[in-house]
Amino acid sequence: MTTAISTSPTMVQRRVWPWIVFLSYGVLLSVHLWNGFDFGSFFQSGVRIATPLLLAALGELIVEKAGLINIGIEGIVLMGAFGGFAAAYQLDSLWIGVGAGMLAGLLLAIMFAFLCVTLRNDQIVIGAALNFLAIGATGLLYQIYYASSGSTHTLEPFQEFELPWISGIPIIGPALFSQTALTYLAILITLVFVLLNLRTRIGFHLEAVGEHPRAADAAGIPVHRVRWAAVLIEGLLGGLAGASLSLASSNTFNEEMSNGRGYIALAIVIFGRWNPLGVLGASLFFGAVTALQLSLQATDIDWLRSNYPYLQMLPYLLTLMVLTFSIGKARAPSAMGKHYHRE
Amino acid sequence: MAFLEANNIQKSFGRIVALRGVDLEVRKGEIHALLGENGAGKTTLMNILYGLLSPDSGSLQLGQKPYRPRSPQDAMGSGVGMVHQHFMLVPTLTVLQNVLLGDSPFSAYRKEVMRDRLRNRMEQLSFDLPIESRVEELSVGVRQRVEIFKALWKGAQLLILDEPTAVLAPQEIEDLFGLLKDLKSEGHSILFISHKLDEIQELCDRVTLLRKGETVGTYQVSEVDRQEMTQLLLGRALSPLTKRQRTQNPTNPFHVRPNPSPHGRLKEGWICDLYPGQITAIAGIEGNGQRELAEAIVGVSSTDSVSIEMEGHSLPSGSPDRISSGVGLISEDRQRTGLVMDFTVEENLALKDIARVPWSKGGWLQKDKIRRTANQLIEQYRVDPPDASRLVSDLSGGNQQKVVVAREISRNHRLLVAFNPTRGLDVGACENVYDALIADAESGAAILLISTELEEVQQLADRVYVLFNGQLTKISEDNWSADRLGLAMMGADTGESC
Repeated sequence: MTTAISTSPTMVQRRVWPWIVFLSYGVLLSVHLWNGFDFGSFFQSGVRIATPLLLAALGELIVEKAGLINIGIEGIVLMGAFGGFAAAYQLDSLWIGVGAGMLAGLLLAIMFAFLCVTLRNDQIVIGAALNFLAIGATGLLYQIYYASSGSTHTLEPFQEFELPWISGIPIIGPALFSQTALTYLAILITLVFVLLNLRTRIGFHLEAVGEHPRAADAAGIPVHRVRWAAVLIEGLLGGLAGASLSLASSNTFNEEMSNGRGYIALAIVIFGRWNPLGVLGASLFFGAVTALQLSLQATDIDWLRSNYPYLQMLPYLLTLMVLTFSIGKARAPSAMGKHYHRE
Repeated sequence: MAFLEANNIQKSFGRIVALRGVDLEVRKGEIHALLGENGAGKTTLMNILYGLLSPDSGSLQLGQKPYRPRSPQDAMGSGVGMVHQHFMLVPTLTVLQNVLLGDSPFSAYRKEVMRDRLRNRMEQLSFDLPIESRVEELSVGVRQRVEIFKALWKGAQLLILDEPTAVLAPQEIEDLFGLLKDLKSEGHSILFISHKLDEIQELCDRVTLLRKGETVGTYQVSEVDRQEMTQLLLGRALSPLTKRQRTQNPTNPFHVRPNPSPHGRLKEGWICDLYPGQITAIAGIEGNGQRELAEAIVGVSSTDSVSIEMEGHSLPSGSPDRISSGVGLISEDRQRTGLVMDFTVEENLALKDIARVPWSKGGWLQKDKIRRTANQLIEQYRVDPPDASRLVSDLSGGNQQKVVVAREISRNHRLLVAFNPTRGLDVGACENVYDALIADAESGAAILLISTELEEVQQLADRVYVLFNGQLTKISEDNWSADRLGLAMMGADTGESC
């Protein structure tokens, strides 16, 4: 019996990767020291910007792994941003805000799960409808409670928490160890995802439900329950992503503040090839590009400053390009977007 | 001693009665065949035994105890395992993970323990499976063994096999039969569902015949011959295949040759000649490029393309032009590529030429004309029920295939590709398809029969090729025996290159 295991390419990759990382760090460090360009704060803002993208994309990842597609992640993020801001502002506690943001995201996720998993409606249509619902609901509540009073409402956001000693390492220190609590949380969740994916039966059950729900059902895995659970987790993570927008990346809520981040998260899942570490890499990439366009806006080149909308397009343009070029390479879960019911 | 007993099982769906009273008795340590026409109720009965459906009335007993499975897990727990035609394996997981899927306490910690246990059980049953390979890397034959092993691992005493040989090569079929006989001698019971009478005669001890939702009877296989079986099955004798005059010295063939394509399945460098008035057959095991070839000929393959030339003229490439230049396809996958399931019979019959006279004039559908033509075809091809306005999805598989065959043959065509045209059809329906193909060849069309059924190839073909791994090989007439063809299908070099 042939057990053709194609270990060789991955083994090569494993040996090469540390070197690539090490070398690029060396290059950056020398530029940093010679030229004085502050890579540290550049990467710091890149990672900060990547945090909500990463959280939302992890949520979408688990849902797609389970064989669903929820473009309503955009609305979930927006709900989280509003819920987080409102609760934190009223009750004067950031962590209560975080919890409320997650619950607000959960609310939308419950609707999605009920409509699409239980009632088997079209996932794209429902996802789009939930996005509009979120825009309408958050906009209305914001108008009633905050905008109408005329004054701006801001709060004291999450501060960077510098981990002792290691935050002093050049470049890496500010980028990874001088972030808000929510960023550390996001990275922790990514690692949990990696472990779940590779080492536990939860990972296999998700895989089975997303690849071949009938086989999963025949093996005694409750397909609908697994899908419900995946959507609920997406709600919590998407809500957390939203809360990090209004409580860490800024200090207030704006209408439609998610601003397409949920859609970028959809692209990140594809770019990250349905793999938690891939999703982490893709999020950091998008974060870095956004940070780049922000720092380009701040340069003293007049043309760039006066034509800043072109720079703002950059992340979205990149989304399109990534989607164009990753077609055919990545393989989505076979049952993604398809309903499952017994014959 | 009866292991499984079903008495007077009845089941209806709405107004449609699927089972009118079925009796079945499978003994311990026997291989029992279940034989019936398309729509006779085999699938329904199977689903009841496996807990996917519950019967309206009647009683089931398993090992002398009442048996009422509410779900496949229930059935498995009682010792009934099933190997579906479409495998229930997650392609991206390994064999080990698939076998253990659903067994609750499974973690990395327990993996070593479970792997050892699995290995032991495999040795015990003399299975040899690559347990660390992903299922998608395995051949169909091996996947089937994984399915069988999985069922045994979960404690199956009775194995239900739904047309297990449909996807296998002759040598793989022999291996499977060997395995099933071993299992039988170890005391397992096997319920073997098949359309192929010769397989039933080779493998099975007894056979139960179903006709229109009723048990015709249960017989010792050694006591009934094929003619009797067919007669019992159809309620009539099978008329012998129309012998036809082979066209001597046929002229003006279509030359089919693959175009270079980077991601194609078909290899370059061969030509296949299709003569008008003849049936040219391409034999081969599934997955060697047959689907790509069939789709490339009608111009709808996304990966491969072929050029077709006749008397120095080439046929247009690309689907709409190719099809309207007189190329037809009878697809194996009628539900996916042959029919629109939510259309009626007449709409499906008119589907390909709906934009043309006489089906429509100036953009308006000619309903009367469509209905009249449809009724003619329904009568000619004995579509049952004979109702042009019925949804195709309400028809049984065999009758759906008749609709496809009727449409493709009645269209104006010069070249017809029949790609596994009898997949999933019972003997009676196969006979209809064969007669139609022969009649079509006699009326001057060039027919390409792409089939995994050796018997079909041997019976119908004027010339035979074998497709292996995208490469076509011509087989000379003295090498048409099942053994020789089977070897060529496995890639042994027995033919001449072309």
